[in-house]
Amino acid sequence: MIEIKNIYKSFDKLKVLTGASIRVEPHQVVVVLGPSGSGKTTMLRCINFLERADSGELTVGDMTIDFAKVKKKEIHEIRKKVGFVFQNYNLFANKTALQNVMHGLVVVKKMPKEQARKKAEDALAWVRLSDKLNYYPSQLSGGQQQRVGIARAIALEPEIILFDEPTSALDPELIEETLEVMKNVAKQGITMLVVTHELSFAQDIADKVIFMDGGVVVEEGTPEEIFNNPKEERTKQFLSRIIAAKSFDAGKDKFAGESLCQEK
Amino acid sequence: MCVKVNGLFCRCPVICVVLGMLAALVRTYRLPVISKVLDVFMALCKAFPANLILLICIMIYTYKFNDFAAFFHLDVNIRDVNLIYIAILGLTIVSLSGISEVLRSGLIAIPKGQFEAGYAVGMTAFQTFRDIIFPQMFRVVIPPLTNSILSLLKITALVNVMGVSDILKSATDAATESYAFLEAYVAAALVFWVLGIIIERISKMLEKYFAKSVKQIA
Ligand SMILES: Nc1ncnc2c1ncn2[C@@H]1O[C@H](COP(=O)(O)OP(=O)(O)OP(=O)(O)O)[C@@H](O)[C@H]1O
Ligand SMILES: [Mg+2]
Repeated sequence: MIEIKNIYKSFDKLKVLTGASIRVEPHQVVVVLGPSGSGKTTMLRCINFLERADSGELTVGDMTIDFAKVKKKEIHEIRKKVGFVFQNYNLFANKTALQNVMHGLVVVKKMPKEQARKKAEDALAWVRLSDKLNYYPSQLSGGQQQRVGIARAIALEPEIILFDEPTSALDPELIEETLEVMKNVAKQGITMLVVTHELSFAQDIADKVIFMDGGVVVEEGTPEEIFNNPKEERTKQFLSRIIAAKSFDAGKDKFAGESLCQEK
Repeated sequence: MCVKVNGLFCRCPVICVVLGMLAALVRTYRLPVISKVLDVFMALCKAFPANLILLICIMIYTYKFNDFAAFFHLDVNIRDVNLIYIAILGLTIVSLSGISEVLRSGLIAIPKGQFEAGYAVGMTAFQTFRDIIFPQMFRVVIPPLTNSILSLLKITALVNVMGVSDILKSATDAATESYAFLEAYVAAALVFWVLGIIIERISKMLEKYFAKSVKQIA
């Protein structure tokens, strides 16, 4: 379980998060939507302290901390409980796919090398990369790199994995394979908090959808509620804009959200 | 002569790289206070000509050594200290800032995402540096670091202002007996050349070893 209460964060004078609260139950998949600049990335980064929030409360599993006075040791503990999949993959450039997945197991989890290797191989097989174990990131496609990134996160068995727009740096034909892997992660019952613009993913997989704007949660609910029956004006506007952009883009995607367009 | 000269060469680059790395780390991770002090110190070192620094070192040593010793209650006399250590100190001050800057440029060239990936996996700052950042940084700095070490090799010829033997001085000393100056200079040049080749070789080997994770640039 993970819960953020009343998180505030500003960069100098720019107030990015202004009291957002989010709760993710165990085994839930929660998708966060919102316009560019609404603070989605910042919020995820605050959860594992790549950015320091100014105030608020964070609960991960049995640990609760206050953002304003968190200790170094607590940060380290929380990072061990939280996995992160980056928009631009951020694989260790000096390590092969296998080493990328293994390294945390050996160094952080203190697992014996052989056992870690076995586990890393399994994780990579699971994202269908068994044939690329000894490839360096520079030798992998974007989609393959992102799948290694996902394998690296799941191998560590964190309480929750945060995904920050994991497919938005990918070519359209590579998005599908990555979403497929993420759906499998969800089916495993792994708790996920996902920032994405892929409405189809939210629609098919999410237990809960959160719409953020201006640093706060504007609306949250099941995918049906948010896509078919949004209550807030800002949510409606955002959805119709993103759907219009998508259908203009490809004219092939099918969202339940289309009904939203048709209603108008 | 050989022993002395080798000592100068082997120790100086090692000391410079180790201290330079520490200074680069302090300045990149911006440790409070010392990073400010180092900023000033490095700027000063960069501004002075090499032989001036060496001369200042030897002056301070000759005039102030006994005061220092007394101040720290050390039971040593100026005659007990081999001049070579002062030469090493001087050369270190001369080269340190350059080498440290080379290392720092390598450090800041590493994308922020590499640090963050390490932290996100649960590694400490030290583990991340040791396993992820340093190997990548080192690969980038090998060519410029090689250059710095070659320059250091060449400025060792300046330590004769301190009365310390270096390759050049040893050669000319030998020549004064036989008046074979040209031969002596050629011999000295050969020694520098061979040392240069050795350093280049080591550098190429290291480059090859660390380059395995990078695509060959066409
Ligand atoms: N390190 C930083 N320094 C200063 N401002 C920042 C920093 N990081 C983010 N911001 C600002 O915070 C705001 C929110 O950024 P954030 O990346 O969280 O948005 P987002 O919701 O993830 O947007 P997108 O959908 O485009 O990724 C933006 O206005 C951005 O300019
Ligand atoms: Mg973002």
